[in-house]
Amino acid sequence: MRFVAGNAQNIGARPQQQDAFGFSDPGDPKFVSHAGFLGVVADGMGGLTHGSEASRSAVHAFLAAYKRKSAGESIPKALTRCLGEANLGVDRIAKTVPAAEEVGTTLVAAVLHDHTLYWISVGDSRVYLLRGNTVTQLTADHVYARELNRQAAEGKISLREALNHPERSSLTSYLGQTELVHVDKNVRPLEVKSDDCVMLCTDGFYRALTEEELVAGFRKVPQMACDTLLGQALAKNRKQQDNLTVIALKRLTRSRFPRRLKLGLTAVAMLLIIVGGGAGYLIGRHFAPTSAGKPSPGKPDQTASPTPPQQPTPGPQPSQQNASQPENPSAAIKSSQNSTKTDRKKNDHATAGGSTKEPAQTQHAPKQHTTHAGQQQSTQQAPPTTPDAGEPEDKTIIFSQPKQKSDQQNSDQQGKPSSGQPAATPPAKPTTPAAPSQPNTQDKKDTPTPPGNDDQTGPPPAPPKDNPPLSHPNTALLISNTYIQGARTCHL
Amino acid sequence: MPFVTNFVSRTGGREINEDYCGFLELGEAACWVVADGLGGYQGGEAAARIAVQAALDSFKTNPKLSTDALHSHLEAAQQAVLQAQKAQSRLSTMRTTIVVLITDSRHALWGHVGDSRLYCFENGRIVFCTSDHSVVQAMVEARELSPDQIRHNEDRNRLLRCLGNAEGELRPTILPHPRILPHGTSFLLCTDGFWENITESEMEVDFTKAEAPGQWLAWMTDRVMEHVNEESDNYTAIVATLNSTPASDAPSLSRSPKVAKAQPKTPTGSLLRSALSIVLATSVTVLWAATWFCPSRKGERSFQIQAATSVGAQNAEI
Repeated sequence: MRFVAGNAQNIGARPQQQDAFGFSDPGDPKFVSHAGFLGVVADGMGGLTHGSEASRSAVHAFLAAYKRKSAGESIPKALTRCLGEANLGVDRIAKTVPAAEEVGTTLVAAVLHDHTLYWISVGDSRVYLLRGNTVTQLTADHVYARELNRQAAEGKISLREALNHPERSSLTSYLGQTELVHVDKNVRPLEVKSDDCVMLCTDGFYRALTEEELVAGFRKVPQMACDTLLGQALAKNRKQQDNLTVIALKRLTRSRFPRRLKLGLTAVAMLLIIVGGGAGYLIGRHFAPTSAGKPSPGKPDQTASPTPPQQPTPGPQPSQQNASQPENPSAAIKSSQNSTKTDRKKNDHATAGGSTKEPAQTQHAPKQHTTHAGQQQSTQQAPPTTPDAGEPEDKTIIFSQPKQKSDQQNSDQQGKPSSGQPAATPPAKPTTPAAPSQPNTQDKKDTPTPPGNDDQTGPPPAPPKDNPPLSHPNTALLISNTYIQGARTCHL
Repeated sequence: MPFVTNFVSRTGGREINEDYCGFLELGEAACWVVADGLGGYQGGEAAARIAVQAALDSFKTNPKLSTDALHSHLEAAQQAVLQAQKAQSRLSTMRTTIVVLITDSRHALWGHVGDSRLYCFENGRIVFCTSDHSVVQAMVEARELSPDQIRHNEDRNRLLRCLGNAEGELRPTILPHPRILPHGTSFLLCTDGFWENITESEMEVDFTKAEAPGQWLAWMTDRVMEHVNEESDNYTAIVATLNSTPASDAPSLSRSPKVAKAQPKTPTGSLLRSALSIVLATSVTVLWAATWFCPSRKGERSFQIQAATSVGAQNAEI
């Protein structure tokens, strides 16, 4: 099973990057076979550096906890466990700051495994599934608006009141609460098709784009999709633009075409070569000058036939190898040579690797990762020199700078397999690239304000009654709105 | 009773709820009805209520599972609405859509008039959806619109058929044969105010989130409520789920072979590439072998590769 991932991050118009993200190790076949491929995104909130600290520690703790998943533990169970551990970590941070200050983080995590998808979410970050021309939001935001909508539908408050409530976007559930109020997850696997793409993002990203724009800006290669969409979001130059983070996960089909077909094709190729060799031999015989050929015309079949199959074979063999194992060695070489190229290249290599046989993958994947890790190390020195969020206007600087950050994280995650100690390294690294962010300036973040009401503590969706009476749900005796009636006409 | 029923019916952004739903269980047999009324001065509300009650009354007298029986229920609803129209002049313009589902717990039949819908789910996947009797749906069938353009289209409220037309005969769409109900079957009957505000894939997604049918409906209703504003239509939905052993992992297991089979279809490009390379390899071999067996002066072999294929070469050699 192979996966491709993409990521893009930007600080927006904020002084600090409080979003964080990470991936599980896709290069460990044993782990991947039962745990699939995990992507995590978190959006922290809190003053000073607490927001970024919270989101990073949540991602870190979640990845570390998922690393410990055993084959016996089901993915949804593991996700719930990891979320609990991440919450403990954030809660610990929250307890170090004064009680008046709200520290917390949202978190979304999604796991691709075989053709299924599992996700878990707390807060208002989202998971989208992109399939063809449709985008489906999988998670429900844990915002006060949901509670208000429900109250309005039940007639407890007026619809206008609900729609204009100032606290609509307040979070009702987030990591950092001692007990999680709402958790959004699927209890049954959601089937994913081969071209489906799973996208995890923070509110800064999805608030900047409509669903139509999401579909329009989507690209097949996840990294390209993330880059284009982030570019589109930034191009809007929204005031007060929150931090933006988006990651995309995609499953690659095990092989470009099934092994049986490959074998069949090879056999056909061999046959064609033998037949072709024979035909060539006959042609050669036919056009040969009669005087030159010592063997009599009747016998050549016996004397010459053993030779053609022997001699033609060394020729065609190399070409046949190329046909059946495309770019096996070349992909690795290219990736090491072109390591300075863009992420797009990286993905190309990843897809190229996907078409190779499995044993080859495990060897090549680390190669790719190491080269990228190496590249990142060299670029790593650059970010601190560029001022963080110095000129929010300058798109190129901002765009590239957090991208380096994200690349570091990505490579750090992916670099694990090559390091040989996957268990210890992964979680520690995602936090390091965060270091350049400045520990100053009060954060202006406004979105995740604390819950303003106690009502949200109830169970998420109140299931309707099982055996309702046949009475009319709403029997008002008022004369109905004629404007509405006019809207529905019936012709025959 | 082998079915669990949950329902929701709300005004949306309106003053009055003109939707109506009801269901009746008679041992193994059961019937669910959803109607969406239209027509001024309480007409819509009355039409929907009268139609649902008449259909359920008809089912009570004849709970058999057959297309004829189902047709008679719909006809009963039609007659009841027509009678009520005659009885009260202010209700004379009232109309209603209707969708009826009947089952004997092993098979099910459904029929509808108008744009209220029935979705049939198996293990959380939509396997059937009724086709609306509306102008927009007709345009989709004429390929003037794509199916995803139905929602929020200007003309979506223009119906081609409904209950309550005195002169026109009732032309319901009824499933021709009863459908066998495997484990994990559930039905969603809903009015346009509901299905307009939730996509089919969102219905399927919410199914994977729900531990119980009631929760499933609640998740879906949450999505609908997100779109509710002061202009919104009433929304009504019934979820009827066949009570069976929890089939938690069934969808993935049953689907996996299909997905595996579907894979060969996609990489046509790489197939073409390998086929091309085989052809190339073969032709190279043919040419190479041809030269090899042309016994002639070594220096001219390369020339003869080309020459051997042309007729002129023969003359030259001779």
